Amino acid sequence: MSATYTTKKILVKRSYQFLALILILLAGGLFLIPKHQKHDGIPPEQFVKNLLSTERYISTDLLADRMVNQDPVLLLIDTRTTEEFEKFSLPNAINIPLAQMFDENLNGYLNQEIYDIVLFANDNFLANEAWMIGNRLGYQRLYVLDGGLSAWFETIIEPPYPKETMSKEAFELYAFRKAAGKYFGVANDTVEIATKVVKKKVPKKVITKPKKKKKMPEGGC
Amino acid sequence: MKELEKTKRISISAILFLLVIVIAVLTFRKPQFSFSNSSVNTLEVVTNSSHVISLDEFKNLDPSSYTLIDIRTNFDFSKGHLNNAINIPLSQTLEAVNNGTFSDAESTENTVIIYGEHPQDADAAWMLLFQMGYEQIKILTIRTYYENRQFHVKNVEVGKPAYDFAEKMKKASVQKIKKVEAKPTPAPKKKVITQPKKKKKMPEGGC
Repeated sequence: MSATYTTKKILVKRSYQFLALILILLAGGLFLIPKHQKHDGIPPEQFVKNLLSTERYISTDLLADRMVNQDPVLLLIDTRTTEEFEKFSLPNAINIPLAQMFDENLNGYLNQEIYDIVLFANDNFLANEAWMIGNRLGYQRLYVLDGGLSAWFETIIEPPYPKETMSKEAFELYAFRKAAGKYFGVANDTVEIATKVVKKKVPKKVITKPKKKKKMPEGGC
Repeated sequence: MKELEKTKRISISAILFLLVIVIAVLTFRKPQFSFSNSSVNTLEVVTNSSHVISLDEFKNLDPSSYTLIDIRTNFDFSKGHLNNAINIPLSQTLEAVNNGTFSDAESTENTVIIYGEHPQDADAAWMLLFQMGYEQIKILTIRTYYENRQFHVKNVEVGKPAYDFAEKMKKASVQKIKKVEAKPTPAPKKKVITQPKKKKKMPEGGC
């Protein structure tokens, strides 16, 4: 073996050791990299865009339509407290009070991609809070009932009768709302029952007609 | 010689690998904005509703202790706004964070109070900022509206039901019966045939 070969061999060995050393140092350096919090969910820029968009809102009419047609992927979630839920809630709604959003057995209803979830409360505020927290974590298919139960009552249960000057669509909407209301338990319109009438004796009014005087035609006759 | 060839390839690949790592480390940039507050933390604050402040409470505050921010659009702001309010539309909130508006407020121990057209708009801004780590923020629960081109605000009690729903539903589900007086059937009219009266024609000309 030549001298150059052995030196080359040694050099190679040395360079390998050198490389190995560098790699070990780098591995150690990984521990020293400043910890930047890895947040779960979406970045703030995306969150702002979602906050500004109004796509999350579903109107009471659309929701009523889907409920009447028994949409299989629809899931209603009441975000109010249990007592309010028990007093009154929409049919087939599940109660997940806002404070218990992250409970193990309840979180599964929110963090899934099978159903369209409609969050509702008395008004927009609470439901929106649930939506925002879920949205930041990347939950999909969350919607908010626009106006909450207050709007539900104002539109479906007691729809305002459109004025005569309103468009045909307004009347069709009213008819739809009335029909939907019947599905949810609103009774039919008032039923009229005829009752026997007791005739009141009315004194005969005597009207004297002023006697018409015959006017003689002017001029000669 | 063949042995050396192999080792040459290995060493070249090792050096390239190291180069890649070095470049990655140098170009690594921390994301500009990130959420630092956890969702669980946020939920706790939200459930206590400790981040809302009503109009009456707000009026009792010392003006120098807070910074008032209006998150409506520039146009709405120019039509009318609360005194001493700064306009930061929701879409430009992140830029404001960049400019340090909120970190300044934090460092001077100023509370940031946000209001918008509805409480939920202010809540959106609060959610964004709180989860990014700015905790000294409160929402003013008011509704803004214009009447006779004047700017007005009205306090809102968030989460309060507008009606007693159970009662209303009960009433609505009861069949309403209205007693109506039966209209007396009018007696059939006697058919009276009047012969047309013959008019006596006056002879023309003189009388």
